[in-house]
Amino acid sequence: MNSPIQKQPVLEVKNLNVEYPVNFRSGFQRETKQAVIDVSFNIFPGECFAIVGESGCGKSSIIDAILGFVQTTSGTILFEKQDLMKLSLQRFRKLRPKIQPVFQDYNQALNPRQRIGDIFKETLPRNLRESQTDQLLTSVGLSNEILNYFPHQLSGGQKQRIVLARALSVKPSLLLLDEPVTSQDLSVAVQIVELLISLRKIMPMTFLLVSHNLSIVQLLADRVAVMKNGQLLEQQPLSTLLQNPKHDYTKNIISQTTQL
Amino acid sequence: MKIFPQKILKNRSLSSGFTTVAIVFLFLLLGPLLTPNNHTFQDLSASLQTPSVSHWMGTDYYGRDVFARLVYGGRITWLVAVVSTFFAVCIGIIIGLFSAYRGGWIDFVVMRFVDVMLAFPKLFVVLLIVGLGASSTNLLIGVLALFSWMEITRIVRSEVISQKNRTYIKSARALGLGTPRIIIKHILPNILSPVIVSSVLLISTIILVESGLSFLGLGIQAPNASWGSILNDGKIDPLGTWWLSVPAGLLILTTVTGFNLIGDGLQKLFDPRKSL
Repeated sequence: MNSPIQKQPVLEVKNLNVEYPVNFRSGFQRETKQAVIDVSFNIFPGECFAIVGESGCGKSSIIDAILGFVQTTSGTILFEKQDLMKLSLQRFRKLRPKIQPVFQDYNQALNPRQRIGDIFKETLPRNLRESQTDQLLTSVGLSNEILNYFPHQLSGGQKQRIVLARALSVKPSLLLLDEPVTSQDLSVAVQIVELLISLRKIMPMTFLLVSHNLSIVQLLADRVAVMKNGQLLEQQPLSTLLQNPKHDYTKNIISQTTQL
Repeated sequence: MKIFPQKILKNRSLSSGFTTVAIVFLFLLLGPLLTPNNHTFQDLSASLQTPSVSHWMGTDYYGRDVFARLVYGGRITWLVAVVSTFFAVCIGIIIGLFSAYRGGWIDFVVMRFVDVMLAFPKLFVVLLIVGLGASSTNLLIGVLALFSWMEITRIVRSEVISQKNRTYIKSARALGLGTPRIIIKHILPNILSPVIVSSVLLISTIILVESGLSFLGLGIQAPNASWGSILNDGKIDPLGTWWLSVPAGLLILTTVTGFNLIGDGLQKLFDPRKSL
């Protein structure tokens, strides 16, 4: 995949720090643990930027920080030149649909009491709902028969496709993929990755992919950052990273992936 | 969850509870059609008559028809129980949702207030308030609701806390949906099952408390009746005037058992893992 080099990044993360309260008792904060330490990166339009690292290294915290789900300690997150941390709640809410997450846990990603059809009622305008729902379902490889189903009546792969379709329904410019295929079995994981590759071809979208699995990242990413203990060790175009890893930890990940 | 009729029929607690409560409900609904007697009409010449054709369940000290009093008294007992449960559940849901959704120190303060309310000897406080105030049905409903919402709040709070960090709530927030919509469309439907179960059980608790208060003369005031006050009428000579105490006692017992069975059955229906 070619990495499109353009001047204005869609997302700029500068010196991001995130910490969580630990020993949270009786509503009063006591100690904190640093989950993300001084992380900076840019993502350009149309590219897929990946962050690789082991579980618990702080990858998902970055996604949560971008989505405004955790309080950041310091740093800035600029999305389309707007500082997300300085936006009023109202303006942030309006901007939110442009940044859509696809989480790892597809079983909890859909409201168990909501029919699939009702999901799209929340996101699509009434007059275009029917045609757009059909289009979205087709684009993720599903038919509109499942609109009357509840999430528990769907397979894992179908649920993840619905999650993708829901994210796409609000026409995001940045898709945050948080371990999108980790909980899937191999054949379904391959199908989802193929789907993501084909979506990249037909939709002008930017991806931030977070995964512990370099082989998935290899299939999708243009540039890759390696993360350990809350810090970004290095970030390179994919081919450079694979051929010339600077850090021992990166070499370790690459050799483990090759062995697998 | 799909609730099939077979699923309800197979659930013995639920079906027997529904049947019991439905029979009592029909008795209260159709009772006035079965007797021409008025529940407040006094006929001192017909005092303490045993059950007969004209008075199916006899008469009390003032010659009032016990059958009619059981029907109207039951209506008041049910009204008080259902309306105060409704208010208690509304208060409980609102406070529980607010506390859990805001979290932090607000949650801490609200939950300590709940602890204090739960530590109050409820019955004595209700006795005090009802005893001090001019006794009326509305006051009784208000007081019972005011001292019954805490359990609902605790349940709602714990359920909201477990739901609000789930991925589907995060996704809804990421879609730009507002807090009221997320609460009403996404959180509430997922926390309702345990709330419904507790509400049904609360109805039976309130029926017992209301009957107790009326038995003590602090609940529904004469000339109106409630099952508790009819029970009180028969307390001087329970064996001699059995037609006063036994039917009222049985109706309280049957209704409370019916609601408890429904609560138990609903719990099994909503969450089979919780039943033994």
